Amino acid sequence: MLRRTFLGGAAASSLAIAGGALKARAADPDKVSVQLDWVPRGDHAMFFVGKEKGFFAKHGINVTEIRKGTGSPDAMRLVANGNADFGFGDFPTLAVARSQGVPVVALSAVNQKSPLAMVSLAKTVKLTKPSDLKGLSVGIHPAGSTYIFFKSFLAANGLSEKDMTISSVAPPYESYLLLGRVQTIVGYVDAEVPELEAKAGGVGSLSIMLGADYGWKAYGSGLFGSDKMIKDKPDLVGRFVKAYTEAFDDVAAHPEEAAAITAKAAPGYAGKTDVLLAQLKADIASTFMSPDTKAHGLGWMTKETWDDTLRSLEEQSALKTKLTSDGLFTDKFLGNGA
Amino acid sequence: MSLGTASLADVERPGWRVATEGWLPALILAFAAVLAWEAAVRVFSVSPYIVPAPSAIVAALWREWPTLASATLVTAREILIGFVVSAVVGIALALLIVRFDWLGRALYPLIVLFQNVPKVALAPIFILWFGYDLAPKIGLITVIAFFPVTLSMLAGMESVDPSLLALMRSVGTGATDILFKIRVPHSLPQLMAGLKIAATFSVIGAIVGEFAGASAGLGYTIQFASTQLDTALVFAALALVSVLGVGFYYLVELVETIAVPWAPKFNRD
Repeated sequence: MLRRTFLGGAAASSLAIAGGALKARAADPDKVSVQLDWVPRGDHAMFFVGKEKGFFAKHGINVTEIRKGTGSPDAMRLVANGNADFGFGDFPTLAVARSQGVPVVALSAVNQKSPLAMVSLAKTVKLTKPSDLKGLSVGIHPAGSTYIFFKSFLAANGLSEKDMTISSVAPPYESYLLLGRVQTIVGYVDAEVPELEAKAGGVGSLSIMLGADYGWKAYGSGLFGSDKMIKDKPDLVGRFVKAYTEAFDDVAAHPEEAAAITAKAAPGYAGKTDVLLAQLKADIASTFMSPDTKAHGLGWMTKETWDDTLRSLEEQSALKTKLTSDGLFTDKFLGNGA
Repeated sequence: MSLGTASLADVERPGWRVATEGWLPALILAFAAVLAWEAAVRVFSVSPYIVPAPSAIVAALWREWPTLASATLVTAREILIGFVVSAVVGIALALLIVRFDWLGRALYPLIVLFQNVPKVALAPIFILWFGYDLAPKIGLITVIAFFPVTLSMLAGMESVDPSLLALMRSVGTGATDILFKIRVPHSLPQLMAGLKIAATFSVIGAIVGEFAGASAGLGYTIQFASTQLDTALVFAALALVSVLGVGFYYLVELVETIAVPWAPKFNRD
């Protein structure tokens, strides 16, 4: 009890007397666990860099575990019922989860626009406009975010699932595409697509139609927590988001180092520095920054974007109950010097 | 089993009791369990995304019935065809092993070895080899379900009284005749037990196959309901999978009652 009151007080005045409080915290840091949405990839680097370079430690936090996951919906359920303290996952999926009564809250939007795209082999099918999807067989990995994106993308472009054949696929996708089991897949341009492209024959071998270019207005993935955590330990959440944001700035500024740290820290990633770097570079080129982040810092979220996302999700009736963007995200821990 | 005692008892007990006592205990237990489940969810206000109440599952069944019904048909077809293929393959292997001794010695260890391959790991590979149609599901069901058929039929054929075999051979009966006139009929009760296990394995095989890659079916519905965090719909589909499993099991038992009435059964007088 004594410790909590002390920490609470320290946070309230953390900007002013940070130095003194930090010493005491370092003696007994808060232990937190992190649940990823999938196996580690470039945009997970903030957790590894934050731990390795001491951003979390500086704020009195010891990240004890960074667990790989089995899809955004599972990550959200795990964080919501307290099996992990913070999570990383797809934000449109977070809206769907919240509408199903899963109490999770977006804390930092890492991808300012959706990195999801329809991908095909250029020599088989050229995707130039959404209606090109009509009549194709579409491979979708049923882990959550990709299917929710796919439905929203169709709705945003006046298409329906009935216009095509849907088949479930499991990563890695290249074999399905190369063997012609499916003609197009839904993929993350900052995750599997760089690898897929390398295996399909290099630059130009894939035809990529980015959802964000065709009416799908939504954040990609980001950091989230639970209602309970924000209510019970706002100070800890504040410090975590702050440390995370500092690590985020560091990752965006030094992607090479971030990729190397992640490859070293994540089990089985020893030879994957290049893949992680390609993923990070794709993110830096297209999704980490937006006019909002230039004004307010990385991870910033606005009510307008969330409202846009909710509108699209409602149009394709992905939401069980009507949601408002209040409660879905909070920006009170974000921002320059917030 | 004995007809005499059953008819004697009939005189002493009211008709409704005779008619219901076979399935009434199971029904009462199931009803009580569902009631306790519903009460627990309500009393402890468990979130529906963790454990949905039975009433929510029924509501999901009702709401999504058209989708679920067509998914059930797809999966039932896979199970039925997969089961028949498993039975044929399983029986054929058992016959070959017993009839041709050298082939048996070659095949048997390999079959046991193959049985230890985790079939879940094969599922995605089958999709790549055979595509999205029925073929990969039938293949997967067969590799999962043939083994109990082969094993139980082998056990049945090997348990023939050796002195009977010696007698048959002494009067000059050929190996093929011994196989089909003595060993096969003798193995039927055990074969039926193996087929019942295969029936339940077929259901698992169909779902595993659909999890690996599908365009329709209950396994496919479960996966996509899970992505939408619609736990009630997941449970509704699971309930239908169970109903399918029970249905196939008792279908095989019905065939057994007709074709092999002397086979021993659990849960009978």
